[in-house]
Formats: sequence, structure tokens, C-alpha cells
Amino acid sequence: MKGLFVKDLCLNFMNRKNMMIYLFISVFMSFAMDGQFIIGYTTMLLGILAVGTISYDEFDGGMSFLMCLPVTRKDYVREKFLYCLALEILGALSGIVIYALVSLIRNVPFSIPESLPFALFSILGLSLMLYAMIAIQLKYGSEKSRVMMMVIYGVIFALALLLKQFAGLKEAVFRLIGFLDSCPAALLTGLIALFYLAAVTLLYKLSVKTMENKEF
Amino acid sequence: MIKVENLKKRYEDFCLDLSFELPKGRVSGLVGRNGAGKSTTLKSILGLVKADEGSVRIFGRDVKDLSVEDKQRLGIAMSESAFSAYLNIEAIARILKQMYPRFEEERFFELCKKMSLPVRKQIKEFSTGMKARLKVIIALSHRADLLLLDEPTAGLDVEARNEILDILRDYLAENEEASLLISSHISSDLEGLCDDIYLINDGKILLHEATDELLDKYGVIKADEALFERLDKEHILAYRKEKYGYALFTDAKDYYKENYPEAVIENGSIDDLILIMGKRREG
Amino acid sequence: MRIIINNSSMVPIYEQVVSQIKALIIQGELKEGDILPSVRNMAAELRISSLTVKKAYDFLEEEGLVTTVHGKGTFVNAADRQLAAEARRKAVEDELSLVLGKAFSAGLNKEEVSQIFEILLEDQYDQS
Repeated sequence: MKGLFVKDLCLNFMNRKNMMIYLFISVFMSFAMDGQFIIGYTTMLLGILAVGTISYDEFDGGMSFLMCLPVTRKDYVREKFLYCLALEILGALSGIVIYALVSLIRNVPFSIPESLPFALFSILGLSLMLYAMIAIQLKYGSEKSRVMMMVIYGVIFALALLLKQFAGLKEAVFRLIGFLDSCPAALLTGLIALFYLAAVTLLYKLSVKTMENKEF
Repeated sequence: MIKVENLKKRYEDFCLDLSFELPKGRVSGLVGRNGAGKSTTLKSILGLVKADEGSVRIFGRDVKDLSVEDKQRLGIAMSESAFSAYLNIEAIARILKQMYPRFEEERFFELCKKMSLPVRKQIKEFSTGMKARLKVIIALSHRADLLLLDEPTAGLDVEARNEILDILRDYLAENEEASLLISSHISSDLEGLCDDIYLINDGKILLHEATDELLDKYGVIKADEALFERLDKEHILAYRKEKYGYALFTDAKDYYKENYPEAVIENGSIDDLILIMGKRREG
Repeated sequence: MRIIINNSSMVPIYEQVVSQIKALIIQGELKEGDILPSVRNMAAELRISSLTVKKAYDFLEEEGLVTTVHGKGTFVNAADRQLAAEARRKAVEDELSLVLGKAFSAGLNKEEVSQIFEILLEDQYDQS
């Protein structure tokens, strides 16, 4: 599995030119956006890069050879999940650094400790989305999965619109949020952790199953 | 090393159905035209495609249960798949080092240098020949006990092909116990390398014979119509209509040399075999 | 070791290997205790299959010319005295037939050749 990790790192970071582009975009965005949002942005950027390694793996039938190397199919999925998380953390950290630097340059007040919860939520929230992307990409391949993701975003957007339309629904959601708000912090953390773990486990199991049934 | 029993794999227009065994230290060749089933055979052996029936065992273990340690003893080159072309040789060496405890870094770079492969250039900028050489060097980089090479010489000119075969021969000489299963549609490549040869056609093994028996006993008789008519067909495996009459493939060329001294008889090469036997169905 | 394989010959490859190693032993280029290249090395060098080399080595072993010690290699045995004598005799025969060929093309008849031979024979053997 270490070998796969090294492979993905090489795929993502061997090309210096790409690295410079990512950095440039991040800094540019941080001037455009206010405050901590840059942290979410860099987290997402690196997370998507991590998922992108699957396309590199699949390119030109490369998967057959990868599966001949001393790794199991389960190893492959596990590595992708961990690699994705690792890159998100890296993204969040570099986001914090950029946020601090840009704030210094602009001479606006900032607080690193205060940005940590936001970083954590970015990592967790985005990781769910990225894991779903991994599961979909493994199942349907990079071409089809791009369409799938669009469809999913479309559905979410449509749901949000629906929500706006029906006052009753809106109220229900607000009530739910209110309920969650009134929950003791410990309970809330527990609920979120439980939901997160269940979702990750489900996506992981699905991905492993897809890989194990695949022919190359 | 490998034991394939009644392996069956059905596709819409093609069905693979074969059994064979590769003992320790053996060098076996799979020959057959493109689409004969060589790649599918190798992919089934590696568990990349799942057999509908039958079993494949490697190192005595079902291929489905192959452990990481077992896989570290394999050296593989696929015909249409390799490390991502976005990597370069330096990166590949780093990956191999993590993957294979027996990876020989110095030797790997030495071979790359000898084969004039640039280590910092992305693989996608390599020529076909360079890519082919790299695949073989990778398969041989970690003292594997069992090598499986699918068409390692495909698409190369004679010189490049010989270069690759020489690397292989050197590896086998240095690792006396190593076994090798290699496929090719240019079978003259395999004559000077393999102990025995399987001719695959349409998913089935048409012929299995030790290479020196093939070269000693098999031959092509070139006969005109008259000779063809009176020729004893007992030891004829296949024949094909030619402009001058018939080309007949025999596994007993001495018999015909004695009994038909006037006949033109040539040493049979495995390529003749593919040409004549492979086309038998079409008559 | 100089062994040359003729791929288009009708003589089986293992026989070519056998006869050439035999020749090397008879000529004394391979001496008692010399080790032959390993099967795979020889195969790589000659670009033939190792099974063919093994067949040749097995054949030589059956004839008592070499001995294979498992795990160590194949060694040349003490050249058989009879074999060596046979070889020397063969060499003399070969040279004699060369001379006879010359005599024939020079137009000498059987008696004349025989006469020359008798005279030379006496000279050689009575002197020594």
C-alpha cells in the first residue's frame, strides 16, 4: 500500500508546473474571497486532485497492470480513501497558512485557532463528497462518473429549489436545525460522528465490492 | 508454478477452454495469431478476468487467494497496460522499492542506462521500443520466481526484439530456478528461448510440444498436385493450398524424407505452424 | 567455449551441441575437471532452449564424458583412453585420405601409390 501512496504522490506532485498553477490559483482566490473560505477551497482542490489519480490509473488500461502488482483490490480502495484524506488535511493546512499570510498582507485581523473548526468541518464534509466520487468513479469509470456527478449536483440543486418553494418543508428544516441547535454539544458531536462513520463505511464497502467484482 | 485446469471463459464470440501446467524452472511459450486467446489466457492466470469454470493455481494457491507476498514473487509485463505514462523512471523506481522487498535498484538503473532509457522523461514521451524495454526491465527488477510476459516484443523491429530476448536470457541464466511464461505472435522469437511451446487458436490449445522436438521432427513438405495425391497422409497434421500445390505440415519429416526422396522438405518453424495449422478451419 | 549452432541444418540441435563438446574434449580444449557452463547460461549463449542443452548434457553423461553433480554443475571426466586413441586414429585417417585425394587427382594409379607408400612406410618404421 505504501507503494500506491508513493505512486499517487508522484502522479500529483511530480509536475512542478501544475503545482505552481494550483498555488497561484489558491493565492488569487484568497484575495478574492473573504476570510476563512480559502481553507475550504484549498481542501477541496487537493481532495479533487487526490480523486483524480483514479483517472490517471485508468488511463490507457493501466488498471490491469496495477492489479498485478503486489496489492490487493481492497488495498487499492483503502489507499485511495486514506490518500484523499491525507491530501485534504494538507490542503486545509496550506489553506490556513495562505489565509494567515494574506490577512497579514491586507492588514486585517485573523485567528488561526478560530479557523480550526472550519478547517475540520471542511475536511469531514468534503471527504464525504469525495468518497462518494471515488465510489462512483470506480463503479462507472471516469467518463460516465463525470456525468453522474453533474446529475447528482443537479438533483441537490433541485431539492434546494423545492425546499424554497414549499414553506412547510422549509419550516420543517428550520425546526430540525433548531432541534439540533438546542441539543447538547456532546450529543450533537456524537450524532455527527455517527453519521459520518456510517456514511464512510458504506461508501468504502461499496467501493471494495465494485473493485472485487471488476475485470481488467 | 502454474496449474490451469479446465479453465473456461465465455465471451459473445469467443470461448477460452484450456488446461496446462508450468513446472518450476520451465520456460514455456504461448503462440497464436492476434485474437487467438493468448492475452485472455494470461489475464485469467493472473485473476484479472474471472474464469467461468475451472481453476487456476499459482504457487499451489488459488489465484483468487493470492497473497501480497505471493504477488511479490511475480514479474509481469502486460501487452496493453503498464505504469501510468505520466510517471518517469525515477518515480517508478521509488514505487517498485516500496512494492518489492527484493527490488534491485542499482541493477534497475544500470539496465535502464544500458537500454538508453532516460530516467527523468515522462513515459508518454517514450517510443514504442523504449516502452517495451521498460516493461521487461520492470518485470525483471525484483528477482521474481515466476515471470509472465504478454507479447513483450510486439510492435518492435528485429533488433529491438533480439535485445529484449537477450535481457530475458540473461535473467534466466542468472536465476536458474526462475520459470517463465511468455506469449508472442512472432514465434521465431520463442524458438531460441522456450523449452516447450503451446499453439493456441480460437481459445484452445492446438498443439503442445517441446521446442527441440518441434524443430527436429516437424517440417513443411512442399508438394505439387501429383505428389500430394500419392502422399501418405498419416503423419500430416495440416495442409494448406498454395500456388504451387500444397504446403503440408508434418511431425515426422524423416519418414517423408526416406520414402519420398524427391519431395522438397523444409525444417518447420513455429511460424509455419501458425500459418498452416491456424488456418485449418478455413480449409 | 566455441560452439556454433546451425539452425537450418537437418541435424538436431542437441546433436550439434553433443558433437561439438565431444570435439572440444578430444582436442583437449576441455580437460578433466573443467566445468561446463550451466544449462541456462549455455542456452542463453547459444540462443537455444535450455531443455535442448539439458538433453545434450544428459547424452554426454550417458556416454560417460561428463558428470553432473546436482547443485554444483556438469564436469568433464577424464578423457577416455580408448576415445582418445580412436580420435588420433581418425585424424591419421583423415590426413591419409587427403593425400590419397591428391594422388588421385595427380593421375597416379593404385600400384604407384602403393609403391610410394611401401617405401615411405619402411623408411619411417625401420628408422625408429
